[in-house]
Amino acid sequence: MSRSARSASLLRRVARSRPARWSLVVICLLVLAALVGPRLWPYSPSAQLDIVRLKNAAPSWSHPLGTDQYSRDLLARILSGAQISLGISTVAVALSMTLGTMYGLVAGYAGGRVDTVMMRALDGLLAIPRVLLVIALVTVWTQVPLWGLIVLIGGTGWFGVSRLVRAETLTARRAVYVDAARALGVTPARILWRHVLPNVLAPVIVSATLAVGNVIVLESGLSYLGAGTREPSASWGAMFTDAMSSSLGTWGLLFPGIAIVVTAMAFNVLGDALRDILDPRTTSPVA
Amino acid sequence: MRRYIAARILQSVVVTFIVTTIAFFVVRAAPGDPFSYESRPLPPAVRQQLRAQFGFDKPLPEQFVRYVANVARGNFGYSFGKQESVHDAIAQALPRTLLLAGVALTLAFGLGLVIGVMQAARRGGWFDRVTSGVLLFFYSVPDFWAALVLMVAFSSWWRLLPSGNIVDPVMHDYMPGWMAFIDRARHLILPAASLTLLSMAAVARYQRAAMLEVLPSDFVRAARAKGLSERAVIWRHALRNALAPMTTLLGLMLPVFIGGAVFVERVFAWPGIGSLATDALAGRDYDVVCATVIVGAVVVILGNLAADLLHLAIDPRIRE
Amino acid sequence: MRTAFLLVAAGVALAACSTTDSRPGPGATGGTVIMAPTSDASSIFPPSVFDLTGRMVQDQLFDRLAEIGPELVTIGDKDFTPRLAKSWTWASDSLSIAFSLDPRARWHDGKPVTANDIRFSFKVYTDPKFASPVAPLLANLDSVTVRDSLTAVVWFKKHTPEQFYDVAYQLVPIPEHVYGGIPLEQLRTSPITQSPVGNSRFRFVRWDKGTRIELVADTSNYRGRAKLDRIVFTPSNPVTAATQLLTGQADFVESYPFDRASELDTSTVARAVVLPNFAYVFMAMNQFDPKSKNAPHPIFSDVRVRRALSMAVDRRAMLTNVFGDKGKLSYGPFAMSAPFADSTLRLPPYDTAAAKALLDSAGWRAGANGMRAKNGRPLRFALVVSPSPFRRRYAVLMQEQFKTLGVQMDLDQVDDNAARAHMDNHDFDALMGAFSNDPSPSGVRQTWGTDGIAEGGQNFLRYSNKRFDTLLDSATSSFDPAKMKSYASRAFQTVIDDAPAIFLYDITLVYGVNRRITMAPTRTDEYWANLADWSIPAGKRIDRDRIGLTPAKP
Repeated sequence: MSRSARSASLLRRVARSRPARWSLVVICLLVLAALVGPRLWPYSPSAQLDIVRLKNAAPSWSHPLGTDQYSRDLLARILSGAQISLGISTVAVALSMTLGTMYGLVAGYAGGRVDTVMMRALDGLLAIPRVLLVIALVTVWTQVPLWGLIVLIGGTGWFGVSRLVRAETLTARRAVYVDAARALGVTPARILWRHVLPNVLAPVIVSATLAVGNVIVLESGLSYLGAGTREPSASWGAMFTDAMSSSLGTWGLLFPGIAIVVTAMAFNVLGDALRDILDPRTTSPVA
Repeated sequence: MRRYIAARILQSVVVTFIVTTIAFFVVRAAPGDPFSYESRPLPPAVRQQLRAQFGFDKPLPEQFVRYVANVARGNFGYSFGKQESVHDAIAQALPRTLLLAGVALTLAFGLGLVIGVMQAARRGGWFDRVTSGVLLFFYSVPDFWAALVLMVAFSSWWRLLPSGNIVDPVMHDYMPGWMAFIDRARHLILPAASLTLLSMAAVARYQRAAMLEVLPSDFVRAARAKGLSERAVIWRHALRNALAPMTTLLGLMLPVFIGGAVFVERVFAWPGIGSLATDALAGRDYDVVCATVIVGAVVVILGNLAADLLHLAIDPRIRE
Repeated sequence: MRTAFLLVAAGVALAACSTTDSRPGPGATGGTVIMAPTSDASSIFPPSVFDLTGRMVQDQLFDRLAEIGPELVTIGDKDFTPRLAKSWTWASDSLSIAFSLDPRARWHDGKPVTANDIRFSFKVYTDPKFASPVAPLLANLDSVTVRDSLTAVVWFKKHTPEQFYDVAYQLVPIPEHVYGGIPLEQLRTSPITQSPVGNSRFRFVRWDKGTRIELVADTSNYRGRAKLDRIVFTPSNPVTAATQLLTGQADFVESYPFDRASELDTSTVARAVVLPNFAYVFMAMNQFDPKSKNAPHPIFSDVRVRRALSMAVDRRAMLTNVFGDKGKLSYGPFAMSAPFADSTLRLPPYDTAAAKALLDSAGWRAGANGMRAKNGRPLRFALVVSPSPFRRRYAVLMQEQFKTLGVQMDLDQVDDNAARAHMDNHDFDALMGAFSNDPSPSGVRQTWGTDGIAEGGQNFLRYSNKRFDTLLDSATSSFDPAKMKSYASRAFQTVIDDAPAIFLYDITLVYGVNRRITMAPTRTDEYWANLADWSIPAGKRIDRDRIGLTPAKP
C-alpha cells in the first residue's frame, strides 16, 4: 500500500473511533478557546474589577464563572490560563519529543559502544524521579521565567521517548534496504530521515499526545510546590494553588481544577485511541 | 545465570554513579557556587570540615572525585535549614517514604492487576467501560489534588481519619502495642490511598493491554480447547504470561511512585524524602536537594534490581 | 475504639497518679496543648536559635535575666520584670549593671543558676568560634565579670538607650556545667545541644526532627508550676494545620488564612483570636540606585513619582479585600496600637487623576501602549515580596492599580532569607517591609531617622530627612507629654509628605485556638510568651489532657 493510501486509511480509522472523535473535539475547542477566547471575551485576565464588592463572586450572567479573590473575571483567567497551560505543555512536549527522537536516532544508528554509553546515561536519567529532578533544577535556578519552566519540563521528559526511538532505529537499521542504501553511499542522515523516521513517527505521536496530558498535570503540581509560573500571568495550576491558600471552597478552585482534569483526560483518551490505531504492537501505555 | 546477576548488579552500580554525576553537575550549575558554602551562614567549624571533605577550592575534577567518594561513604554534606548532616536527615526520612511507597505499590499493583485482568476478560463490557472511565479520571487528576480532596473528605467532613502526621503526636506513646499499630495504620491510610489511586490507574491500563495481547495467542486457545474453565484460562494461564512485562512496569512506575510521594507527603505533612525535598527547595538547601535526587534514584535502581531478580526466580523461561 | 482508648488512657493516668508529685488542687492544672507551627525548629539551643519556631520553644525552656513588659518598651529598664535576676543595680556612669540572681532559680537538672553561667553564656554568644547569629546584637556588651556566685556584672562599651534590653532580652543564659566542657568549635553541632537543659517552667522531653517537639511542666520551678502539663509542637503546612485545628488534632495555629476565618466562627471545636500587633507594613521605595549604591534612583529619587504612586492605590479597598472587616489601616510610620499614633495625619489621598498629572509633570509620559517612559527609560521596577500571604496579596493588588496608571511593577517573590539579604545589601527597587515600633517615638529614630542608617540600625532604606530628625529630637527631649505628641505628629507628617514608602496596614493576625483552652493575656510580639499560664478547665479536658506528667513507655 502506498504511503498516502496508508495515511488515508489511518485517518479514516481515527475518524471512526468514537473516543478519538470526542477527544479531538474537546481538544479543538480548548485550542480554539486558548487562541481566540481571550480576544473575544471583554474582560482582561488581570483587571481587578472591584476588589471590595466583587471578591469571590459566584457565577452570574456578567461573570459566568464568577470572580477570584482579586475580583478578576474567572472566565477571562481560565481562557488566558488555557493559553499558558496549553502553550507550556505543547512546547515542552515538542521539545521533549525532538530531544528524545534525536538522542534515540543517534544511539540506535551508531550502535556499539556509543549506543551502550548513551543508554547507560539514559538509565541514570530514567532512574531519577522526574519531580525530584525538576525540584533540583528549580532550586538551583532561583527565578525561573516562563521559558525556563518550559525548558525544565521539556528537558526532563524525553528519556522514555528516546528508548522507544532507539528500539525502532535498531530494528530499522538491520533492514536490508538500509544496508543497500549505505552501500550506495547515501548519508546516514538521509537514511534516518527516509527509512527510520517514518516508522518511528507513530509511537512518538502517541507518546506526545499522552505526554501533553501528563505535563498539564505535572505543571499544576509544580505550582503547588512553589515552582511554577508567576503573577499576574497564571497557568491553571497556579490559579488553583493560589485559590487554595484563600479558601477551600471557592469558584477559583473549582474551575481551574475542572479545566486541568478535562484537558488531561482529553489528551489521554486521544493518546489511547491513537495507540490502538497506529501502534497496537506496543503494550506500554506509559509513554 | 550467576553471570547475569553479577552483570545486573554491576549495571546498577554504574547507573548509580551516573546519577551521582548528573546530580553533582546539576547543582554545580547554581550561581554562587553552592559547594563553597560561602553563601550560607554556617558555623565556621562546619565550614572547615566541609571544606576539608569536599575540597571546594580545588579544581573541578578533583571536587567531583571527592564528592563521589563522600557519597559512597554516605556523606552528603550539611543541611543548613535543619542544622544537621544530610545523612542524618535522610536516614530519618527515607524509611517513612519507603513505608508509604511500599504500601501504595503493593496495593496499586495488586488492585491494578486484578482490575486490568477483569477488564480484559470481558473486553468492551460494562465493567471494562465504567472502570476505564473512572481510572482515566484518576490518571488525569493532579496528584496533590486527589490527596487534598481525600484529606478534606475523610478528616474534615467525615471525621474518620486523622489529617497529617505519622502517628498521634501525644497519645501514641501511651498506647499498648496493638493500639499503637492501629494508630500508625490510621495515619497511613489516607496518604497511601492517595498514592495508590493515582498509580493504580496506570497499572490497570498496562495490565489490561498486556492481557489483551496474550489472550488471542495460541496457547490460550489451546487451553480453552482443552476444556478448562474460562476462569482457569484467564487467571492461571493467560495471566502468568502477561505477568512478564510486570517487571518492566515496575521499572517504569517506581520513579512515578517516588514522585507522587513528594506531593502526597506535602499535603499530609508526612516527613519523608518528599517533604525533605520541598523544604530544601523553599530554603535553597542545595546539599539536601542534591542528596534527594541521588537517594530517590537509588531507591528506583535497587527496586528495579530486586524486581529483576525476583522475576528471574519466578519465571524460568528467561533464564536463557 | 474510642472508649477503649479512653479507658486505657485513664488507666495509665490512674496508675501514674499514685506515684507522681501531687498537683496544687483537684484538676487545677493539667492538659496537653498541641501547637502547629508552619515549620520545624532549626535549633532550640539559645545561642544558635534564629528562626521563629526555635524561639518559641526556647522561650518555654529558658528564662531571661529580665523579661520585657507587655508595652514592649526597650528603652531603659522600667518596663522589665525580674526573672533570673531578681534585682539589678546600675553603676553611676551607666557603663555596667550588676545583676543579683534569684537564689531559687535552678536548672532542670537541679543545679542552681549562678553568675558563672552568665559569664559562660556571654562567651558562647560572642565567640567567633561558635558563630552565634545573635552576636551582632550584643555588640555593645564588653564583658561579664563575676562578683560572687549570685552577682554578675555586665560591662558595656557605651551608654545607649537599649543597653539593658540588649542584655536582658538577647542574652539567654545557658548552664556552664552542662555545656562548658565541650570545645566551642564542636558545641554548635554537638548532639548534646539537641536536648537542652533549661531553667524555665517547661522542661525538655524529646525532639523527633520533622515530627514533634515535646515539653513537660517543670513541677518545682521557682516561678511556680505551669498550668499545663505538656506542650507538643507538630510542624505542618498552613492548609493541613488549619484542617487539623478544625478537627481538634491541633490546638493552636498561627496565621489562620483570613478568608477562612469565618469557618472558625461557626466551628464548635476552635475559635478565632485576633491579636493586635505592634508592626505595620509598607511598600518601601529605594531612593538610591540599587546597582551603584550612592547614585540617585532613576525613578524613586523624585518625590513626585513617590507621591503619585502613593495616590494611585486605594488603601481602604485593599484593606477590605485582604482583611475583610478585621483590618487596620496604617496612618503613617507607626502601628495604630502605639500611644503616639495619630490618625489625623494627612496621607496622600487616593486620586488617580492627580497621580497621573503628577507623573506627567515629572516627565513620565504614557506611550502608545499606555505604559509610561521618560527619556527612553520605561517606568518599570521590581518589588521584592517575602512569603507572607498578605504581602503577596497586596503586591498583586497594587500591581494592577499601577498598571492602570501606566506603571509596570514586576513581582519578585522570594523567601525570608533572600528578602533579608536584599535589605542588608540595599539592592532592590521597591520592597514590602515591616517595622515593629515600641511605644516611645524615639524608637522611630532607628527605623526612619538618619541615626538608623548606621550599622545596627534598622533603616534599611537609608532614608534621611533632616527636618524629620530635628522634629523627632524635639519630641524626645520634651518633658511635656502634650508637646511630645505634637512634635511627634509633625515629624510623622514630614515623613508622610515626603512619601519614602506607601504605608499600607498594621499587621493583624488571626490565630486559631481550640475552644477548650483558656489563653493567658498574650504579648503582641510573641503569642507564646505566656504559654505556661494557659489552662484547660477540668470539665473540658479530652484524652490527651488526662495523661498527667507520666513519661511515656520507653
